[in-house]
Amino acid sequence: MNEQQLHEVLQQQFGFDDFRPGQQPVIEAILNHQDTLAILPTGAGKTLLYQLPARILPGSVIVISPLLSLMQDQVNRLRQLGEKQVTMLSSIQTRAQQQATMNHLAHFKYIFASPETITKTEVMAQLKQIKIAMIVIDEAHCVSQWGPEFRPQYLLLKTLLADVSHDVTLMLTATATQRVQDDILIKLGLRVRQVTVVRQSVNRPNIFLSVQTSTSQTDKQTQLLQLVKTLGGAGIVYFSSRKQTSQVAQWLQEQTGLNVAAYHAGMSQTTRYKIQHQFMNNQLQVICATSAFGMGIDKEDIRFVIHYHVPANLENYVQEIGRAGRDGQQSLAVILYSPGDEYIQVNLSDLTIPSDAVVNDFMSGQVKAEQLGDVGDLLDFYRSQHLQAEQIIQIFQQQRQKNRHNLDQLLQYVNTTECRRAVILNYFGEQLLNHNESCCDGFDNPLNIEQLGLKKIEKTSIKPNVQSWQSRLNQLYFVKS
Amino acid sequence: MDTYLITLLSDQQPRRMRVIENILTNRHTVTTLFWGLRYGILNWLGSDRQLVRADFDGQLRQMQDDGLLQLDNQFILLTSQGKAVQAQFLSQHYQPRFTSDYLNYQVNAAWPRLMFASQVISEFSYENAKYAPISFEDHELRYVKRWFAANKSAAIIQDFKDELTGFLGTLSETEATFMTELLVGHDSPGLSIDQLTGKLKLPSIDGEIMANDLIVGLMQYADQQTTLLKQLFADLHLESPMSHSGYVTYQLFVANHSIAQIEQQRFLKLSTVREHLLEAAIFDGPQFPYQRLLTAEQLADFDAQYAGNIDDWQVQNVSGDKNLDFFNFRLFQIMRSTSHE
Repeated sequence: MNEQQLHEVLQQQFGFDDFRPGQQPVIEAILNHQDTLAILPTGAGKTLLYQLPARILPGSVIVISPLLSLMQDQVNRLRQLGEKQVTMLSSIQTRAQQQATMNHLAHFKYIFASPETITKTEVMAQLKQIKIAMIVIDEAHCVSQWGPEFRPQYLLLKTLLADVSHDVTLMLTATATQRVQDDILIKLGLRVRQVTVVRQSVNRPNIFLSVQTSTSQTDKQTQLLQLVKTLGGAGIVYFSSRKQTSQVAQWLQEQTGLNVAAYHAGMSQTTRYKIQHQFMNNQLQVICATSAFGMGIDKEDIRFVIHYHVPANLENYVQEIGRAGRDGQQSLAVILYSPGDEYIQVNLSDLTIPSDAVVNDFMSGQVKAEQLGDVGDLLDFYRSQHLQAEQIIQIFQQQRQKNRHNLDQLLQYVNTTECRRAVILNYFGEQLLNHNESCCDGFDNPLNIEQLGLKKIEKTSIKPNVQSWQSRLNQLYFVKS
Repeated sequence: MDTYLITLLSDQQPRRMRVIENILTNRHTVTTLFWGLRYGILNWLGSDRQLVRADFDGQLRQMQDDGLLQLDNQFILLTSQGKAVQAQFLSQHYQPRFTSDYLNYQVNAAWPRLMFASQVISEFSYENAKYAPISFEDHELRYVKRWFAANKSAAIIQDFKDELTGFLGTLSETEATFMTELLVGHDSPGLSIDQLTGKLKLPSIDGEIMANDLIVGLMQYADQQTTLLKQLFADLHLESPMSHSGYVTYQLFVANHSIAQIEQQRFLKLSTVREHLLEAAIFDGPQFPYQRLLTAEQLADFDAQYAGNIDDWQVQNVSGDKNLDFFNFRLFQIMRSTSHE
C-alpha cells in the first residue's frame, strides 16, 4: 500500500486528514509485516496504530495489556469508534463466560487479555486454531526489569510469540530509556536488528514545567487553591491517596465554585464512567484523581496537571503531564512539593512490595495468596516459576532499590535550580535544543500564569442544574413528534 | 456520628456485634442467619459486602464513646440516649421501604443494567450508533443487546419512557429526580450518587441506601406493571435467598425425600443437611414443613420446656445425640420466631 492509499484509508475510514507524529512509520512497518516497537508519548493516538492495520490485514488482533482498567478503556474506545467485534478475556469473567468467549474466538476481530490469561495452555491451544494477524503488546516496558513497572508475567509472552503463529508483533510504550528499549526486545525473544523502532521525543514544548515548594500542608493547600482559582479549567490534580482525592475535591469545589470531582479505582465502574465523561463534556472543570485517571482520556484542551504529591518516577510524571495540552496550546505542569513528601512514595513502595517476612510466610504456606491481593498473585506467579524464597526476596530487594533510585532521579528534577526540561530529556537520552522563558521555572524564571497566556477564560456557568424528572426523561429519550 | 448502623440496634434486645457485621458482609452461616432473623435484620444480608472490620468496629466505638450504646462481652445494647438518637436518625434520613424484596433480587446488578439499557434507548432515540457503552461485561452487553433487539421498534422509546414514568410517578419529587439524574443517555453521562446527594441537599450517607432501595422498588413495580422493564430485569430474580447447595437440599426435602436419602444422594454429611434445612426454615418461615421433622409430641414437650423470650432459651439434651438435640431445638426456635411475627 503506498502513501496515498494509506491516507485515503485514514480519511475515509477514520475521518482524519493527517497522521499524528510517529503514526505513519509505525503503520507502514506493520503493513510490511515488520515487528515494531513504538515509543510514542501519551496522546499520540495509539489505538489507530493497530486499528488501521486491523482493517487491512486478515485475521484477529490480540491486544495484551497489564491492567483490567487499561483493557476496559481500550475496549470502550474501540466500541465508541464503531468496532463491534471486540472481546476481553479476563479474571472478572466466570468460567462459563470465559468458555463462551473462547468458543467464539474466531468471530472477534479484537481479543484483549492479560499476559497471564493469554498464555494459559487452553487459551494458547484455542489461539492456534484461528488466523492471527497481529499481536499487540501494550505497555511493553512492563517486560523489562529496568523499567519502573516490571511485571514478571510479561516474561511469559516470549512463549506466546514463539508458539502462536501470527503475521506481525507491535510493541507499544509511552516512554523507554535506551536500556529498557533493548531489554524489551531481548526479553520477548526478538532480534534487535530485525525490529523497527519508532521513537518520538518525550519533549512537550507547549507545557511549562514548574515546581512550587511549600513548608506545610496548609501552605500547599493555599498554593493549590490559588493555582486552580487563577487557571480555572480544565485540569487534573493528582494525589497518592484515594481519601485525599475526595476531601480535596469537595474543598476545592466549595472554595472555587468550579465543578470539581474525585476519581479513583475504589469507585464503582459506573461512577468512574460518569466522572470521566462529565470531564470530557466540560461539565467538570477539575478532577482530583489518583494515577488511575487518565488512561483513555481523549481530551485535547486540558490546560494543567498539578501533582499534589510527588510521583514515583520520571516515567510516570512524563506520562501524567502528557495529558495536558494535546491541542498544542500553552499548558502547565506543576509539582507541589514540601520537603519530606518523598516518604509518601517510599511508604507506598514498601506497601506494594512484600517484606521478607511476608515472602517467607507465603512460601511456607502460612499465608495464602488470596489474603494478599495483588501481591499474592505475584508471589503465586513466582512460585509457579519454581523460584525459592531467597530468590524472591532478592528480586524484591532489587525492586526496592530500583524504586529508590527512580525516586532520586525524580527528586533531582524537583530540586534543580536549572532547566527542568533538560533533566527529563537527559534521563531519556535526549538533548535539549534551547531553554527559554516559556520552558520552565528554572534559572530564576518563576511561573507567571498571565504572561504564559494561561489566565482563566471566564465562561458562562455551565453548572448543570438539576431539572425536573419529567424534563430529564424528555431529554434522555427523544421522541419525534 | 451519623450511620445507618444505628438502625440495626435495639435498646431492648442485646445484639451480637459480629452477627450484625456478618449480616452486612454476607456470611451465610446458620448462626448468623438465625440471629439475623431474631434481630429482624435479615433483609440487610449482604448489603455492605465491602465493609472493613476496622471501620465497623470504629463506628461502634464512636457510638460507645458518645454514650449511645453499651458494649458488654460483644453484645450491643442501645442506651436511652442511643434510643433517642436512633429515633432522630430515622426522622432525618431516608427510610428504606422496599426491604422485603432485597433478598429476592440480584440488587447489585440492577443499576448497571438499568443505566446501560437507558443508554441504549437514549442513543437509539438520537439515532447514534457510535458510543462507549457504560457496561464492559460481555454478559451484560449480550443480555441488553438481546433485550433491545427483541423489542426494537419506533415505539420502544415512548414505551420505555412510559414504564419509567409509571414508577417514578409513585415516588416523591426528590426520589424521582434522584433516579432520573442517575440514568445515562446520549451526551449525558448523568450524575454520580455523591454528586446527586450534594445537589439535592441529601445527607451523603443516604445516597447508596436510597439508590438500592429505589431500584428494588422499580423491580417490584416492573414485575407487576410493565413488559419492557420486566424483561430487562428478568434474570436478576434469585431462585431463593438461600445458598445454592442449601436450596438444592431443600428442593429434595420438599419433594418428600428423607434426610437420610438426601445425605446419600448428595454425598453430604448429616450435619450439613441439617444446616441446610435450618437455613430453609429461616428463609421460608411458616411455609416450612416443620411437622415432618418435629412430632406433635415433641412440640408439646418443647412448649412445656421453653417459655418466655426466645433469645434466652438454652438447648437441653434429651436424646443423648447433641447434634440432633440442637437441630430440633433450633428448628423449634425458628418455628416460634416466624409464627409469632
